[in-house]
Amino acid sequence: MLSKTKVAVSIHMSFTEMKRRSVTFLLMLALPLIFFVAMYYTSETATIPISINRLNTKLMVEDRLFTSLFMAALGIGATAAFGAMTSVINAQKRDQRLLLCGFTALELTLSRIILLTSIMCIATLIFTGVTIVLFSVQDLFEVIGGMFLVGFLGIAFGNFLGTVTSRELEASLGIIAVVGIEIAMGIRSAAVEKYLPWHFPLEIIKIGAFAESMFAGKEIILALLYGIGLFLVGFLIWRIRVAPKWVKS
Amino acid sequence: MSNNENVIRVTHIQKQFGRHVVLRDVSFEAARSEIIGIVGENGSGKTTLLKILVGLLNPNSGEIQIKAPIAYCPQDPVVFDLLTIRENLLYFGTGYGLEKREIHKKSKNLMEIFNCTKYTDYLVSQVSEGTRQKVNLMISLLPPSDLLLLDEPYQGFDYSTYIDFWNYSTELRKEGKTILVVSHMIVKDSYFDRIISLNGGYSHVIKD
Repeated sequence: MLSKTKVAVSIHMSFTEMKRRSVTFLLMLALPLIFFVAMYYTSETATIPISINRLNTKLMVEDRLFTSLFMAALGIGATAAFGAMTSVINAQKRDQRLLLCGFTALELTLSRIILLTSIMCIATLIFTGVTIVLFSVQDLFEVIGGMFLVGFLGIAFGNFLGTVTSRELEASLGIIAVVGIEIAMGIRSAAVEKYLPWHFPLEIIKIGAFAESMFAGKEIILALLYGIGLFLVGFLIWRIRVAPKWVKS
Repeated sequence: MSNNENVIRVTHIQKQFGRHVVLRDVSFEAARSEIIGIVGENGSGKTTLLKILVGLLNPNSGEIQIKAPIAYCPQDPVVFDLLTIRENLLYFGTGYGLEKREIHKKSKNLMEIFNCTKYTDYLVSQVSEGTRQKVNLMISLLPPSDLLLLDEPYQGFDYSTYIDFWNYSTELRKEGKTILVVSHMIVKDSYFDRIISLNGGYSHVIKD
């Protein structure tokens, strides 16, 4: 059974801990913006062709807008993934003790997801403010939704990696590998990219920013399903690895 | 529950990691209001045994019967370094299902017993190793559990805190609690009702 008090106390304590890691906290909020600004001021205003999976034709878009959005989105995703991964790996023994004390696996997982998602929402909102000032996009809400889902998928992916490996370096390399492939393949919309965690949210951002009179409903559902699937698998593995093995009589 | 009814009964526990057999045949039992010591050299399987008892590890064979709510104190402090001592106790106390007021009252009492009231609002990362160990122990003393499983609970304590620990344990025993203390070294065996030694994977009673 889920105890609201336990979830609330767990969120409060995790947030208190995070606040005391002020540099980490600020970086989590600022990194996507730093990525965005860096790309905005270094890329060109020329137009480039991009592909959207559901469209047969290529769209011609401004390089600067596309690259900046793409990199900012990956910034949000990578930050969220690292945040989730380290919070799972570093807290394994403490989570075990909390479980022995009486917290349930669901309460601990839920509080972690709620906290990280809230931070990602703030990062997305900060980023959205900048986007509004600098660009006009076709559908701002879809872009915001896409950015938020990039963060959501990042948390799910980081959480998953943190549960399958108990070593931070291995999990970090996993995130770096996916971000690297995403940068190399995503801009060109290569076939392999569509299996990666951030494919659907990136499609939503592309549709929201560039495609006229098109709604990314299918991509939103697929992104949510992908994220929920990763969370479920991660949760089950985490439960097996961390939770006490047997129930005492 | 009558005083001589067993609170915990461990029968023929065997545990191995790969080919390395840590526990070959461990059996013992403890009744209400008993303080049991489990001793052994480094690597004799004391911590493994306790982890099996709380459910952090599975035994390969054997049977465990526990008839009371338990509280566990791990050997290495498992606490939140970036939370204060008060926040740590509140966090874990909430897990035990205690009310906030109850946690504060019990925490205050424990901090007085273990002489660390002045550090209440210090981050755990700012206090000494000994105080960290006190926090580790106090967390396991928060709930009203009838069976306490304490893994090296007084390592890093100064002599006066060591005595405070034993005075408090004696009080708990009078209240009907059963305490299992794992230690690599026992200075004064009169504190224990029974001492079980782990040697070569087998358990032997060395004080009864």
